[in-house]
Amino acid sequence: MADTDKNILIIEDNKEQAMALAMYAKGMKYQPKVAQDSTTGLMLLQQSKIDLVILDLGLPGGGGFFVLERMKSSFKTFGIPVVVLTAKIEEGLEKKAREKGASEFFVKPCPMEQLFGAINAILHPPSRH
Amino acid sequence: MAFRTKEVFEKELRLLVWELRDNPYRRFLIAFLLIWAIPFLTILYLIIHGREGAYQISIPSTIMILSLLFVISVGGSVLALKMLNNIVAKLVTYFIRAKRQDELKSRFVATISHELKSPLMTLRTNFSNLSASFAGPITEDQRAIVESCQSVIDRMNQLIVGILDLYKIESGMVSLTLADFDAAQLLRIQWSEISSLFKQKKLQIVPRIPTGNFLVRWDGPKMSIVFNNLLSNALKYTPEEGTISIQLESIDNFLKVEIQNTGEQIPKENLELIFARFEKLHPEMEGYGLGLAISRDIVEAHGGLIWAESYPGKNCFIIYLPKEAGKTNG
Repeated sequence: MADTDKNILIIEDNKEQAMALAMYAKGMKYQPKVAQDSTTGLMLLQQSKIDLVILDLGLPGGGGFFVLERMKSSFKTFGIPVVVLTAKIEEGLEKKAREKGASEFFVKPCPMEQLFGAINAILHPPSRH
Repeated sequence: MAFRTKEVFEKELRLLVWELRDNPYRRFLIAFLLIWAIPFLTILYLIIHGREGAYQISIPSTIMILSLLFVISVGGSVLALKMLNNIVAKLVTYFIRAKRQDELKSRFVATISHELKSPLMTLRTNFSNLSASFAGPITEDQRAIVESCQSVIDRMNQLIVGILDLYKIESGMVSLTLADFDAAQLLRIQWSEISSLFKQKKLQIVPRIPTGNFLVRWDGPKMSIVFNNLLSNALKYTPEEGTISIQLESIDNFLKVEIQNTGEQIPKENLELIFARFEKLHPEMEGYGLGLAISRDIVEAHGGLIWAESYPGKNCFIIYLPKEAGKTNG
């Protein structure tokens, strides 16, 4: 299990999905926060200490790529890792997301073990000692 | 289910030809050609041969007739141009309509994908919460129920992905991303990935992949799907302790890949049927009957062929592909 002091922001417009993800994150001993649109997400990123973002791409208020671009152009948020979680299946979407700065890319529905395995690896990289 | 743009276009073109059969311009065009052709040929004959015979034609008459023909030809040309204009306008309209159908298809795929996959993600996350006891402790029996629900979600997802893949390939929404690589290496990776499953079933694998470089220019990820489908089928349909052999052969500009198994013979009348969508010879077997249909679409998109042969105690799936996708000669 991971630390309790790491904050994960879930930007997901589907309320049930966001709540389910938040419950899983909490179960994994993270502190989840939820935003259901791009603007709220960006606001939370500026106001709180966020360690990682789970980002949906089909969001109201500009879409996931808008959030990603804004995050990567802001001094405060450019270093926060972003894990994209999307139901979109367009070709080249993963490449585009990674080019814009996403650390990981998952297509829904993906196993939680895989998603949080990647999140753990980002937030708790293996020690080099 | 799906139309390729070409099919839509051909359909529209047939419709257009049908419409033109009753078009008044068509009659004008035929009349114009007849009006032009008959006197023109007559005058030509008289000019060439008339001087020596009784039907000699005078210069003023020639000028008059030619002037008349000129007026008729101008009128006919205007009509012909109008007709051509009409055809072009209709073709443009039909092309726009076909393009619009393509856009609708793309939107349909995006909507289906989002609307079906998103709820599955919510279900999966919630079942994971239950299974990991993040929503409170659960009994072993409850856990078994949750796991069974999770496997149903996996199967639903597999079906959605299969249908969407097929739809995208059929609609021409997927283009091949070609790259140079070694086909033998790709095959080795594919069978090594599922070799543990072969071992579980005590199957013997005979890879006849010669050493050396089989450089090809294909879409690697899509061809991986094809090899994976064929090997998974071989795994499913070969009885325990059976044998599966993989053979790779270079023939001029083509590569021949043959995957054989010692499964039950496929009746001759079903050898083509198995490549149809949702066709399963053994309904009790896992899967949705989409693998071979998708494989055929991918192979054909590369300009190749895939077919099945079956003999007593032996089934072969053969792929014959140009080394450079789409290039079937020198």
